[in-house]
Amino acid sequence: MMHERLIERIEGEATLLLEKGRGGEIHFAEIIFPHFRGMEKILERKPALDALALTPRVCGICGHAHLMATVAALESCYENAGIPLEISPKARAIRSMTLALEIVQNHFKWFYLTLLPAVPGYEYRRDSAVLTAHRAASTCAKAIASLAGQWPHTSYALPGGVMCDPTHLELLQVDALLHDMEKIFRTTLLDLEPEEAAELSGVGALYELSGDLPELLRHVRKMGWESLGRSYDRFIVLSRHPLGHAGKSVRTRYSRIDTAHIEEGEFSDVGARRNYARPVRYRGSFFETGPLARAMVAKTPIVRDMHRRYKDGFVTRVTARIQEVGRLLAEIRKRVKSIDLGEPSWIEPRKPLSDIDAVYGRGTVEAARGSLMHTVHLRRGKILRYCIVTPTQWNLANGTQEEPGVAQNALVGLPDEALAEMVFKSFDVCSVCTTQ
Amino acid sequence: MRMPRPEIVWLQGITCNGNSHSFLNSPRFETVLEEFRLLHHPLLPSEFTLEEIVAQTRDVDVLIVEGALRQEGFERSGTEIYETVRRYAERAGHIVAAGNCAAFGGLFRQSDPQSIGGVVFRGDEPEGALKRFEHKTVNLPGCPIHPEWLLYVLRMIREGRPITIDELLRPVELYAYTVHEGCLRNEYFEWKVDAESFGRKEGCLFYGQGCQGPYTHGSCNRLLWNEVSSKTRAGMPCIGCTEPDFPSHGLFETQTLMSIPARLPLDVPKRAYLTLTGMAKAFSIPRLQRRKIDDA
Repeated sequence: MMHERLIERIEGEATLLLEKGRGGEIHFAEIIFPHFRGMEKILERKPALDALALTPRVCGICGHAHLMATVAALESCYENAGIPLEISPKARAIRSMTLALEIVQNHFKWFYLTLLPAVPGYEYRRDSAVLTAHRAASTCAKAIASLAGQWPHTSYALPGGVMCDPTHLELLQVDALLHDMEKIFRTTLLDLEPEEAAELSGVGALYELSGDLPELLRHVRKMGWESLGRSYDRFIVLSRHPLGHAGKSVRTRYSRIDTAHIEEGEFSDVGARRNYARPVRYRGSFFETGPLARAMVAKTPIVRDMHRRYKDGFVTRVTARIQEVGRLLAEIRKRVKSIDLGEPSWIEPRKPLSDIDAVYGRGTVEAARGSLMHTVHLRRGKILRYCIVTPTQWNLANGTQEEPGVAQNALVGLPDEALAEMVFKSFDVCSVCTTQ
Repeated sequence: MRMPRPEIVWLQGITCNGNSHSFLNSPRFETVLEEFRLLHHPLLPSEFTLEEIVAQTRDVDVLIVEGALRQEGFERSGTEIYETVRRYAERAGHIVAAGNCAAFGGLFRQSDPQSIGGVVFRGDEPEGALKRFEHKTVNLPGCPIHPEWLLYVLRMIREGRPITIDELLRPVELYAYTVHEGCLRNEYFEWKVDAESFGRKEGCLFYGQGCQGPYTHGSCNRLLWNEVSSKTRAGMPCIGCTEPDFPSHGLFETQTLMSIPARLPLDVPKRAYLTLTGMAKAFSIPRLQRRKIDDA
């Protein structure tokens, strides 16, 4: 028995085609992302730096990550052309701060606007959830804007550094907003000081705390849903980030990665419908990316403890995402305090990209939902080819009946559609990113 | 006459969702939720899901369209989004094209310029798929919109005040300014002191870094973004995101013809510009040649 379910509020939409058993349980799921906008083609023949303005417009919630991926890809071009770039620690710190702030606002919005409404039968205060998402998002956006001019959609970073030249006035403003964010975090998601959040190691202790996360976890425990949504228990992180390093983890076993082993497949057709989410595999296998992957690779204690009990189930995935928030806020604050404003914001590359004949570059960043990878081929400073691989592609693209994709695999065996939507949304899906 | 609680339906065409996320940053967001009834929004929990909105037909006070449109080839909830937007446009009291894509087609128009456009306009030509609704449409170009622009329109509608618009359907109270007005680097513009580099608060970005502020309509340096800043205040050139030709080609360098910027400040005749430039360049103002804050 086939049933169709439209999933909304995932930065767009997707359709689940569910093959159900007689009791309504999910036997198999196809996930269809129906939209295509052609960003990669639009980028062709444009001057390289135009990508700084265009790729953020792949996505309104994680566009800043695309900016950083473009910068990384273009800097990689310089490196491959044998032109070393110098980027000051100040510029690196500012970049990592604004990127981390975008991740923080994303996780708040995901939890309060996407996840909570999808937990079947969960009673929570909808109005205050919306306002919490708004407060967190606008506070983070203000902090980003203090350095980058605005959020969403700034292109203030470029090969060689950043365009801004902040004074202590801006840094103090950012610090004050971070203070506000820490208060918001403690009074909404999890009542824990950021430093305590870093030391949290026991699942038992987590469940006893107050906050919207522990409250949700207690509900999920009561319903017996903790281990729903388990998949391959295989994780990949393509880039270093403030809370850890790149690598992969098969269950808990860590090893290094080489992006040369990443392969992107083609669009697929599900019956008469085209699915625009292109599958991504590492050495031929599907891997999960995102906050859970980051925590598994970094061996974050609280996530390890949860994983011991529930593997890569629903509660582990949710906890991994929220615990990033407190710790990222602490990391950003550390960086604010350690920036040396005397360093240059931007050190001009020795040559413009237009002086380089033909070159290729690849950049990876950790975005809110996981690893983002941009690959660019340039000739004389013009884009020949541009390739974007997003975290939602890794997690949500379809595989085959024999080897389903990560989320497809997670949906198999779920008792009903409503829980399927809940597990689906626990991956934090971005429909627009997936279907550039 | 003030409307009690206008009903809004927010639909998306071909978009990145940036306008929705920008709107969510508005400091008046809580008031908006109180003063308006959000029947449907693509991100916020609202009275109706998209599925329900597509399945029904109803009058709405305000239809907000985010994203570009094409007549076929882009479905939402199993229906061409063009069809859904058209049906609601027929019965809406007001239509707001929120963002550059809904206003003119925007970035995504470049994928298929003949088929993709805004609600009323394709580029600067009134050839959009729904141009027959021009009489009740307000354009809010920008990539993304500034949330206060949308709030302005919504509240003017609620108060029953007519919104004065220009020939591109933009509210003049918002778009009669240029982005240049209010930029912190104005003095460098006045005395023709080039920035010469990214990453410094000194110098004007118009001469070399491609800043389009002097000929871009918008109030970014009047209202400020996120209440604190703007691209040009942060040292990033304006990329003209409110204009029908956004994005243009070569955004971070200034095209010049014989050392003169190819595009001049809005409505400034070339002769006037050259005369003023010549005079300004004849002088070197020491304070403007120095860094504001000397490194210790």
